[in-house]
Amino acid sequence: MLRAVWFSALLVGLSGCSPWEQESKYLERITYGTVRTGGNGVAEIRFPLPEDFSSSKVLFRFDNLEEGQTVFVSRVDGENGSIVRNFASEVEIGEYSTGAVSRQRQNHFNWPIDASDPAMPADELRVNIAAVSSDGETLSAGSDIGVEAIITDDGGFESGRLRVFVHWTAGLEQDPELRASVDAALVKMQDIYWEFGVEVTVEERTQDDFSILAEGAVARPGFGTPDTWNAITASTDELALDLVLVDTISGSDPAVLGAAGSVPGGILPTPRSGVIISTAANAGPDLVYSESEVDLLGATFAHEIGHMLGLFHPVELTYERWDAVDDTPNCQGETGCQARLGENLMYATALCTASDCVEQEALTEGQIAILQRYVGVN
Amino acid sequence: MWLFLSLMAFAAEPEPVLGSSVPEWTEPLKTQVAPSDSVAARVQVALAHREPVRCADILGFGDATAIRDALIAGTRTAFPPWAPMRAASCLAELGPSDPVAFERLKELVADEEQPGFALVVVGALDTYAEGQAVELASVIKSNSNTLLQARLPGRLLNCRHAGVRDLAR
Repeated sequence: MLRAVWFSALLVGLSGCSPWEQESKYLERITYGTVRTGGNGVAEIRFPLPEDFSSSKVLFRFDNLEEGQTVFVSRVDGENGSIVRNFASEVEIGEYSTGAVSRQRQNHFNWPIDASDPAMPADELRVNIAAVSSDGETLSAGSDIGVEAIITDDGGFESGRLRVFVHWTAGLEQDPELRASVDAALVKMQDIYWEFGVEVTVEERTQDDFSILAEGAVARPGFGTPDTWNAITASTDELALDLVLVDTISGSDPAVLGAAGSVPGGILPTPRSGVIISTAANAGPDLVYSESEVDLLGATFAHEIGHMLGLFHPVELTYERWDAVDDTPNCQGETGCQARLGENLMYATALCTASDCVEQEALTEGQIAILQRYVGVN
Repeated sequence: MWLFLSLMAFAAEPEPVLGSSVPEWTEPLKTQVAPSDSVAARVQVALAHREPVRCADILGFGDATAIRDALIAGTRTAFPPWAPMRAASCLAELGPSDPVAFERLKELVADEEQPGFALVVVGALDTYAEGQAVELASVIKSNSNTLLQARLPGRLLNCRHAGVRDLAR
């Protein structure tokens, strides 16, 4: 039975709403409308929350800026005006909890982020966003930003289900050996997430289902023709992640094995919503998958999906930037980081010998808490 | 009145441009391991990186010869499988001006057991002078691996060099 939804007087527009019940889980897609930044380049969104969504998750999409402008999230405020999260302080110390602090043409922001975030307020969520001028240096006053969101409530943050659409391009699925390897790798990915309380369901699509997949020339999310990723994500369920399999990634070095559009990733259509994986790069020079390479492909699927669910690398290769997760250590240097984080699913680098690689399939409790709060995990 | 003053205070509050200090996600993160590590070790780590890595960053690690040699060694790496592919890709950037790299590339694209190398190099032919591009493309064309031959025609036909396109016809 659908729960009643309530919208405050501040709700600018309402279109495309399609509330439905999904096995006792509740979802709303809300078009908030357009907000305009003030004299300081910042706009405060007072996002109305449906009643009785006790364990809500919200994923915002910010877009429709003028050419060259970008948007980022600066702060989340509490009901009484107190600051719940000030992202400026995270940026200052080089530890990020969300990619939404990065200026982007289209930005995604998931709330709550982790277990330290308070329960959703009773009436509205206050998020400050800022527009950056096309010069990239100054905040832009009077800029219009389109705001849309998906909100779900699955009753808790301990477990959930994630739907993933796997899109096969250019007839790749007709190669039986490749198909078998990918299917085995997808099972591996599902096994990895099962350990974290996430049941991943996979649905596959081919060019017979969707003509845009026939061309095969798909660039990384955020690159190439914007319409491609818009169309791919618009063609599937609103709560599903889209993962596109290509031989090699168009417009990129053929050795690029995969990429996610953002952290967290978008499920509403944007030119950067989704994950792309190269079947050639992951197979290596012989273009054939060994058993070890199938496992590695499964870990690559899981790693890139992890980005979409809000996880950063626990440490970047510069060893001077870390995620903001409390229980992933801020390690120093290659040796120290390998020892402390080398088995983590989100470690940036595969650790291999001449004959095999270390299994990187672990996540910390803090990382699991983040992915369980992603709007697509229900 | 209080409301008005509060709003004015908020409007005047300076906000940092957070984005100015955070790289856009669309820009691959620069790959720089600790400067104290050897060039070979730094190249090895970069080749194993899961995310896109710019060859320009790898080529900036230090001495050009040491980097080239590390990349050649990288093409002989078995794991992770993308490491030799990335090594070949970066070697392909050196190929136009480095005869040693160019010769290694010719060996790689001729390898019928490892057609992925040819796939990498064919994507870089536009960056070569026509003579070098045709030389590499000829070797690639003569590689009889069926996985490669199935992929080749369209890629060669997209090359900017007429001599390479002619090979595809």
